[in-house]
Amino acid sequence: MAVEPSRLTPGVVVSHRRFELDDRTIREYAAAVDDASPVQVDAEDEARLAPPMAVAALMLRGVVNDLDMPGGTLHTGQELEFVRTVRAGDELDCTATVARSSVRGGRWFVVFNLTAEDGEGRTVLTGTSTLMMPGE
Amino acid sequence: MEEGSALPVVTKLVTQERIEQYAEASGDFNPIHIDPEYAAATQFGGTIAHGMMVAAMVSESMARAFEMDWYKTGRLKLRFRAPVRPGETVTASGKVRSASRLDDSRELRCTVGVRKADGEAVVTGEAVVSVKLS
Repeated sequence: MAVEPSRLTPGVVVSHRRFELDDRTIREYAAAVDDASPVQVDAEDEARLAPPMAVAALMLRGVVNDLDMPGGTLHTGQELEFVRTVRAGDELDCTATVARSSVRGGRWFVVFNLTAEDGEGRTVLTGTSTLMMPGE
Repeated sequence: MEEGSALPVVTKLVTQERIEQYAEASGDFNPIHIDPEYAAATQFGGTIAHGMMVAAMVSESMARAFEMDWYKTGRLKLRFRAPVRPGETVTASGKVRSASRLDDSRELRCTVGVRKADGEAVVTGEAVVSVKLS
């Protein structure tokens, strides 16, 4: 049963997941978005670096999979801040929390805070996603 | 790059196959993207691409321009304004709006966006990057 948007109040944690961003996942992501920009490599250990938008996609995966969103939900806005690079093979803890919500024109606008931390607890990426959900 | 400089242009044809690839890679299997029958009954009348799939073109443009500086310091603020359907060609572009000196770097604020072939804006926003001064 789809989530009732009115239950998405500030502070509610909607997803907390750990992902491994392995080389295969990075390659599949790059192929899916047909990214032709040069692969970035870590200067110290020459490890392949994940495109930051691949990390962002993982952060959103938790929201998409853990929140049974009502049909007609649309992604209307996205903010991201890349804090640290992520190497292939890094494990990431991704958390999504409701920041705020409002009703306009019979639709819910829910803003989620997203964070991704590496295995050492360092923030690598933060952001907000705004989803528009039907219903009042 | 200086104030007024154009960012690299990125143009792609969006296909249903690519949308399905993105669904697999991102784990976002919302039927509006991958189920033609479901999508046909929605306000869009058919499937549409994931917003983040289109947004990735903006990041690709910034990565081409600023490479590691983008990976390490990039900031994006985007609005998804219109759906992109399979078969449509979209182009990401932008330009440096302002440049300011920080301690050991320059902060560049860029106007970015993605448009369809007919000029309709599908993504608009701002990207900010700090470029290390050598």
